[in-house]
Amino acid sequence: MQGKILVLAEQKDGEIDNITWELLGKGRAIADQWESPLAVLIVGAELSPLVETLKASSADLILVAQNASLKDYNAELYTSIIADAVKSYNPGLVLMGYTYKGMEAGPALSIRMGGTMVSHCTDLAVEDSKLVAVRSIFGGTLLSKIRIEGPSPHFVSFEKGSLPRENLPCGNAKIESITVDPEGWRLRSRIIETLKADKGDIDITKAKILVSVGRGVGGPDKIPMLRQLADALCGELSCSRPVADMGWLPFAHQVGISANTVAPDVYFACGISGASQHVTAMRDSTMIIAINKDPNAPIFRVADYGIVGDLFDVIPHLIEEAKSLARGR
Amino acid sequence: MNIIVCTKAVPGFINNPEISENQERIDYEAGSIVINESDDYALEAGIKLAKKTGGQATVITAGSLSSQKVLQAGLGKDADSAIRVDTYWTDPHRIARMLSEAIGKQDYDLILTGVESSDNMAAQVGVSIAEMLDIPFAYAVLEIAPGKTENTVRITKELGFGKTQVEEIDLPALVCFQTGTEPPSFVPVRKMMMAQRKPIKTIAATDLELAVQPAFIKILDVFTPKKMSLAEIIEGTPKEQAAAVMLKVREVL
Repeated sequence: MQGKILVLAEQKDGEIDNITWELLGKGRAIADQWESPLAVLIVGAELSPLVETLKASSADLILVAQNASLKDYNAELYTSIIADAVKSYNPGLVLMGYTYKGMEAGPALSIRMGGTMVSHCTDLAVEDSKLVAVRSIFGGTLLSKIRIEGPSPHFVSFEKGSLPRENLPCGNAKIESITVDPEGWRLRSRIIETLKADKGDIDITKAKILVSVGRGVGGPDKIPMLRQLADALCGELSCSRPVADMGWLPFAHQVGISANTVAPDVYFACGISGASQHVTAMRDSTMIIAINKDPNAPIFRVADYGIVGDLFDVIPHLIEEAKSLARGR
Repeated sequence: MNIIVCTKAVPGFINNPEISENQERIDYEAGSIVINESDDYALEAGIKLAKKTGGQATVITAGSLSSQKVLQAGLGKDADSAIRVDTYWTDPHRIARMLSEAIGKQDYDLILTGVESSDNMAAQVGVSIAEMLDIPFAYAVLEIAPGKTENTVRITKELGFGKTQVEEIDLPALVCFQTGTEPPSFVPVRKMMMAQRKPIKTIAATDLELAVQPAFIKILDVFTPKKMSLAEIIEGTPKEQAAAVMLKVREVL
C-alpha cells in the first residue's frame, strides 16, 4: 500500500459533475492496485442529494464538508476546507479535475502540504511502483509521459473527458462529516456578488449540426453569412471563446471547457485555430470539418476533413450545396 | 500601487520536439517566440492599473536570453522596469520557487500572471507563487480596479459556465488573468525599437537563496495523440471543395 487515495468531487448546476465519475474510475483502479482505500470529498451547501448519488460510487468513504455559508463558491474558503480535509485524511494521492476549481486548489494544496502537483493529465498509471502520468502540452498537439519523483502527497489533475466514466458498481460507502466553521476563518477576500450570464433560449448542446465561428472569420460583419450556412444545414451557430469575449455572439453560443461541451453529428470549425480548451469541448463530434487559412492550425489535428484557404471563397458554395442537400431530403 | 507582471515567452508553433539529456525539459525548434496570450492581458491590465494609481509596473520572466523579447514588449507598453531570472528550468514548481524568491525581494503590492501557458499548459505557476509568498490569490480574472480602500483591489473573475464573481481582495495579492473582452494593444515598431535599448535586470539563479532543487518530474516520452492524426485535406476549387465536403456530411446525416 502506497497511501490512501482522495478524489475531489465537483458539482455543476446542483448535480455531480461528470469529471467526478471519471476521477472515481481512475481512483478505484489505482486503489485496487495499491490495496488502499478510496475516498471522495464533497464541499458545499445542501449536499444531501449529491451524497446520496455518490453512495452508488466505488468510493469506500464519502467525506462531506457541508455548511449553508458555502452556497456561494469562495475559492479561498474552499481551498482551506480541502486543505484541512487532506491534512486529516492524509492521502498519498489526490485526484481532481483540470477545471477552474482544480486549477485554484491543486497548486495551493501542493505547496501547503509540501507535496507534488502534476496538472492537465489525460492518464495516470503505476509503473515499477512509481506514478507515471500522460500530460497534454503545446496546445494539445503533443502529449508527454512523465514519472512523478517529487515528494508525497501527489496531486494530479485531469483534463475533462480524458478518462472513461466509471460504471457505477453500487458501492457501500461510509459517510463522514467534516466540521466546517467559516466564522473561524480569517479571509483575505470577500465575495461582493455572483452573476450568471443570460443563457437565452438557445441550447447548442442539442444541435445535430454546428457551424462554429472563430476569430479567424475577421469580424462580426461576417456572422450573417455563417448564420446562412447554419440555417441551410438546419443547424445552429456556435463559436470559440474570443468570439464570445468580443461580443460577436452571446455566451450561450460558446464552445469550450468553461462554457458548453458539444458532440454534434457534424461540426464545422470556421476560422478556429483549435486552442485546447476549445478542442476538448468538441472533439467527440462525429465528424469535424475545419476551414482555416493556416495549414499549421492545431484544429487540423482533430478534424476529419480540412480545407486550407479563405473561408469566404468556400462558404457561399457550401451554402448552395447545403440548400440542394436540404431540397433532396 | 506597485505591480509586478509575470510573463512567459512561448513558441508560436514547434518542430522536432526532443527530451533533454537530464529528462527535465523538452527542447524544440520554435516557429516564432511570442508572449503567452493570457500574460499579455495581465500585462495590459497591470500597466494601466499602476499608472492609474501612481505606482510602478515591473515585468518579469524566468527563462533563457531569447525570452527577453517578452520583457521588451512589456517595456514597449510602458512598463517601468524589467527583470529576467536566468534559467533553463521549465517545470512549474521550480519556476514558481524561483519567481517567488525574485519577487519577494521587490517592493510590490500586486502580482499579475496569466492563467495558463500555451506550451506547458500546467496552470500552476501563478497560484504556487501566491502560496509561496503567503498572499491571497484570484484565478481566471477578467477585470481589475482599485478597491474600496487603498489596501484592496476589486476583481471580476470567471467561475465557468457563464458565471462570474466580483471580489474584494486584500493587498498584497496575486491575480491570474484570463483572456478577456479587451484585446491587448499592439506595440508600434518605433516604441518596440526604443524598448530594446532600455536596460533589463538579469538575476542569476545563483543570486537567489535557492537550495539545489531536484525536478519533481522526469520526462519519459513525447508523442502525438493517437486521435490527432492530420485531417484529410480536401483540394480543388472552392466549388469542388464545397461539393466534396457536403458529400461527407451526407454520409453521417
